[in-house]
Amino acid sequence: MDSRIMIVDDETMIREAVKILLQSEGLDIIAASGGEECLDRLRAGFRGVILMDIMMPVMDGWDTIRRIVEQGLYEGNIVVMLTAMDAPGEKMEGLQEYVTDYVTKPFDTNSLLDSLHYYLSLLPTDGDRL
Amino acid sequence: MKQTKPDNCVSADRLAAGLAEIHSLLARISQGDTSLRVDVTAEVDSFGDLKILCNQLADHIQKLNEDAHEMAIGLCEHYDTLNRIALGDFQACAAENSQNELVAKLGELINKESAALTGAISRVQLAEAEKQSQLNFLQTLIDTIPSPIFFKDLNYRYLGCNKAFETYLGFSREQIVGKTLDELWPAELADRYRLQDRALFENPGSQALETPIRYADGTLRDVICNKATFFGSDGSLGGLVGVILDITERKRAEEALVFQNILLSTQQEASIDGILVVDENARILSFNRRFVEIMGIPSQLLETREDEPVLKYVTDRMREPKKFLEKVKYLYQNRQMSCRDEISLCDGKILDRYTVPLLGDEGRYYGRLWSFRDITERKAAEDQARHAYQQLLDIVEFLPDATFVVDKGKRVIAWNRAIEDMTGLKKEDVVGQGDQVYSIPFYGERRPILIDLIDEDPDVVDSNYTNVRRDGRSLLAETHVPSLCNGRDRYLWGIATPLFDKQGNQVGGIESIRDITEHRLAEQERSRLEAQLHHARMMESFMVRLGHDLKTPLTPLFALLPLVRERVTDPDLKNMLDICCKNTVSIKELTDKTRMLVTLYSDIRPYELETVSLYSVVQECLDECSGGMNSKKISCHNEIDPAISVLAAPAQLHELFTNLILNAARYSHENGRVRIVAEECHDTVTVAVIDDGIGLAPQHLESIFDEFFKVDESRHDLEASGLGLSICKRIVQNHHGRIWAESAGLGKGTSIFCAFDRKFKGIQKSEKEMAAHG
Repeated sequence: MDSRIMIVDDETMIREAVKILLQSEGLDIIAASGGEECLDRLRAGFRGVILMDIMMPVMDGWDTIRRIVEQGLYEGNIVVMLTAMDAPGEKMEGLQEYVTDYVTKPFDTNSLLDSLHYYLSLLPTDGDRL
Repeated sequence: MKQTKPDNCVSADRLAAGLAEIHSLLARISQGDTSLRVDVTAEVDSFGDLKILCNQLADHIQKLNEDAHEMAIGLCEHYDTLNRIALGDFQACAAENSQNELVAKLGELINKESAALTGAISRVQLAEAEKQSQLNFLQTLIDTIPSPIFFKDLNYRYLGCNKAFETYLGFSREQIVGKTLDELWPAELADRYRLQDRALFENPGSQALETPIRYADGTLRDVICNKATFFGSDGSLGGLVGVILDITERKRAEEALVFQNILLSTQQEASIDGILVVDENARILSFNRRFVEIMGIPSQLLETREDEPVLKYVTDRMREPKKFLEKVKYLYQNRQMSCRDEISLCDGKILDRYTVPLLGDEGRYYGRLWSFRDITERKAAEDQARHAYQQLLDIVEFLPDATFVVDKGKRVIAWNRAIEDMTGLKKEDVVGQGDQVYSIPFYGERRPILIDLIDEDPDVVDSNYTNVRRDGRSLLAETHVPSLCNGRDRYLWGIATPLFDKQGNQVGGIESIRDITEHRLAEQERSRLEAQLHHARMMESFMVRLGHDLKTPLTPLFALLPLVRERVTDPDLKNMLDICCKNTVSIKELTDKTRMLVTLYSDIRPYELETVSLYSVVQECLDECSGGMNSKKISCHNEIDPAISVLAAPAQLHELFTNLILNAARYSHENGRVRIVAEECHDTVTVAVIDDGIGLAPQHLESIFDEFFKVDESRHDLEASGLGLSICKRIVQNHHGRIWAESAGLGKGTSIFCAFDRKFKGIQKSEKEMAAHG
């Protein structure tokens, strides 16, 4: 089954926790440890819901979104930002339109799952992609 | 055959023969044969007479010849005598006894004339000798004359010259005399001289021509050639005499004089001063245009060259004519005196008058020079400067900073009121004094201070005085004075600047001293506060980071603990996992609250403010908190007039009332009652959250707003972070409001009041912040 969810976070614990949580719900998920790996996955054809951590070393969440957009990889994806901060920083200016939702860490499991189910339903089906 | 002739024929023949004889006789007599005689017989009577006549003629001629001979001999002798006399033999005498009376007479006459001639010749010889002597004398005389002299006859031929002329031409007199112009001069000069000479001959008299000439030695001289005609003893024009006067030196002297005159007159004219020069008789010798301009004297008055009318004219223009005139007369009487003073004219001009006598080497008085300089503008400028100086002193006097001014010699010339107050030293004790008197009140001794460094070499100052800063020509320094005047420990800031006149000459210096002790203390306080602020910001940053870092590990716990709990069937494990979940939530809330409190330490900007209905926001909070309320069956009453609103940051207001309501509920009893009321009074809106819970001891009324305050320190109430009321206090303070608690005592409920000022419009960004944000 093709993964339709990608968690992008430099924290292994969080990536693993989210993977366990979603897999327990029967959702397939792939993980990327940073922005560059996320871009690689997108170039490889991933399309779906991206759970993007904001604070990451080297390339943070906003830089990653900018690159996604610049490289024409945004189409067909829904981006949900994961943040430990309440307020988005100045770097987000001009990029908010590419973010569908914000989920604050530590997130409530149920509400996260609800959200993910909802956003997955919004994604085009494989037939649509054709 | 012989023919017989008739009578008439015989007579003719005889007549012819007689005529032929007479003819022959006459021919022979005429040829000098005076001795011939003929027979006077004649065939014809008439011929006899004729023959007699011929003979008589021959006799006469013979006699004549003899007389002629006699006379010739006598004449020869006389000729000889005359020749001898002519050759100077005045002793020669002629024979007076000649046969010939005429010759004898002639001899007598010759002897007589000879005697007379001898006397005459002696006189002539004497005269000639005299004349020659005179000529020699004249030649010697003119030879001694250094100027070339020459004589020419009417044919332009040189008759004579002197040695100077020989030198001039480079020829000897012998080579000159008798030569014409053409023989001595190049054609061009000869023509020119001939023209000049001819003009003189045509108009006899004298002629003077100035011309440059070149001497034989090659030197070029300026000369005046004076020529004059001379006349012979008979009154006829004899020629000309010329004298060449070398005026080269005179010309040079004249040119030098002309140059000196031009120089003097130019200097005089170029002078900005009016100049008048008078001679010893007070007659005007010279004046310049500036003098005329300054005095406004009509030119015709000056043309008279009389000083008196000029003096009168000038005197009439003086503001103090009598004094002026007296001074002039005094100076004319005291010829050796020089004088300089100022005189004022009626038209407002002020003149600097300077006069000196014109004295020769031996003190001879030649006159007096008067110089007048218009100093009206300078005087006005001086007045202005004086006025400005006084103004400066006035300004210095009232400067708020302690200020003093020194002149070039470092004598104090101004000591203002502020420095009197600072030092206790009165200006009358300082002004006019030097020798670093100004340092005494600061250091208790005379020593260099900042104002003394303005004259120092900048490099020396920069290397020796590290606390001295340079700003252009000014020096600035801060210093600590442990015992200012009356022993006060002060921090002083000073600035010293050199003072310059218009010409850029340093004329002194000024130093201002400011007591910055309070400023320094305030600065220290500010530094301390800034350090605190920096620390707070560091803390904020730290707390934000901590919040993030706490939330990160909480995330897996939040995600996985509920999952684990669902999969666990053992009730005890479930309970344990519940405890874990509960603690995780507590950590999250504590983290959230801490972070909230930190982020509230920033001003509310005007754009964040909105008019918020108090009733509405309280009602929202009540709805959200209803879960907690219901568990304790607490009744909650929103009694706020819906019309009351405040200008506030909505999110903060929401947080405020959420915290207050939760706090009231937390400390209320089961079935308790919480009321939220509000009232408006002038510009203040006061809201109160009133519970009937456990109440507060008086000593806790204020400390409940402190961070992590808990009434019972030993009790670890996981549900209470201890930050709720601190957050409330911060939010109210952010709105420039006031928060306080009231309680009738323990068990008697608590009321938390929040008063909002309606005038609060938010905090504008500081300039520093605006600059930081571009």
